[in-house]
Amino acid sequence: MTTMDHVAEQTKLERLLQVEEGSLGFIAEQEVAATRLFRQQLSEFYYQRHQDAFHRLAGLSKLLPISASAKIAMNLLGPVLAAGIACELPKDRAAKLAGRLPTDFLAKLSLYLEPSRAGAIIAAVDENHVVEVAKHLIEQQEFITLASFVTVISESTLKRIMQQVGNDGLSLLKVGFYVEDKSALNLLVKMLEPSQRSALLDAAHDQNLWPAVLSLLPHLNEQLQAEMANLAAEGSADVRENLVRSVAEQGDWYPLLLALSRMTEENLKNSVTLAAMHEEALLRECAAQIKALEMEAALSSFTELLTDEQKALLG
Amino acid sequence: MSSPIEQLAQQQLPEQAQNYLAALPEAQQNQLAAQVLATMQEKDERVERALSRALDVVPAPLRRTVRKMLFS
Repeated sequence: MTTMDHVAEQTKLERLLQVEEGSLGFIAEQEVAATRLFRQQLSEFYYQRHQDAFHRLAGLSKLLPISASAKIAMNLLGPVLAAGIACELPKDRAAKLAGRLPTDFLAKLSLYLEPSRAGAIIAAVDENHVVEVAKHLIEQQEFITLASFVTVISESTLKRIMQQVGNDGLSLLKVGFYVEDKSALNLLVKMLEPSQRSALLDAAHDQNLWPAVLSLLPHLNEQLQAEMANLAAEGSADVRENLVRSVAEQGDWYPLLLALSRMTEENLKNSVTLAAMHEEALLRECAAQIKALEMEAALSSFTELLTDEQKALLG
Repeated sequence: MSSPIEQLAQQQLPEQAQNYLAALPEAQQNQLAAQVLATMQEKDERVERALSRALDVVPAPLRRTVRKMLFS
């Protein structure tokens, strides 16, 4: 079954291949891990075709003072070559060079960095500089690039970057949705201000993106799962109806069932009373998914809270 | 003329990546392989253009020599 993790991988591959978003729909039917590996190998394959030239230019760059290298990178080489050269420089020199380059140029350059080689460099660049570069990437809506760096920057830098994103729920979602190592989502969600968490859920409702937001939930620890599930459950009935119907339409029930299993008894009770949960087809599908996903024990309270009318619908 | 998949193999696309392509249904396999190849050519051209631009500062009669020294 296609989950939002599949869709995220599809979009990242489309981005690498420079094709229109959604044009490689069949990729979402492939295993997430296999597509990720394919994309990473492809990115490395493209890089290696020019690695020798990048390496030689990096060798020349090392002969020059940093300030001269920076001027040449900006005025002569441009972001494509500068990105390749940066990947071939020792990380300390690359970081020093980055410190001399304007942040708008670095933002352009970062689009061409080979992610597997860029981590060490970015980690060595001054925090203020990284935050400024991130600001440009946010302005340019370059969330795939930004998300690819989440795991290599320090916690304090990441926190400042997330503050820059502010209460733009859709942008917050995109950073989380495209993050390369999903285990980083714990840190990312933990550092969100309450207003940012609410903005994330508002974006899910306003832009009909509940499946994408819910897809982040399985990657969080139990405490954060409970916090986010309860926050969603405390929204208006209108919002929660929309949430359940979006999941039913998309078909990936696991994140929603996980949310139900993590929320408080009171919130669970409010979820059971939703109008959507009184529709036979939807309720039957929900029950079938609980069984198929072997979540009967985790959702025993949910089943107990069903009214006689709902139980009758299930037959 | 060889197929995009054969061309990618000739260009030494890693074997695992070739296997990923080979596991797709034929039509999808051809579409994706053609796109991988097109992107490769586009990226090659982009680097090539950037190198040519960088060599513009070298006096014209010396460009070929400098290019040879640096990149071959």
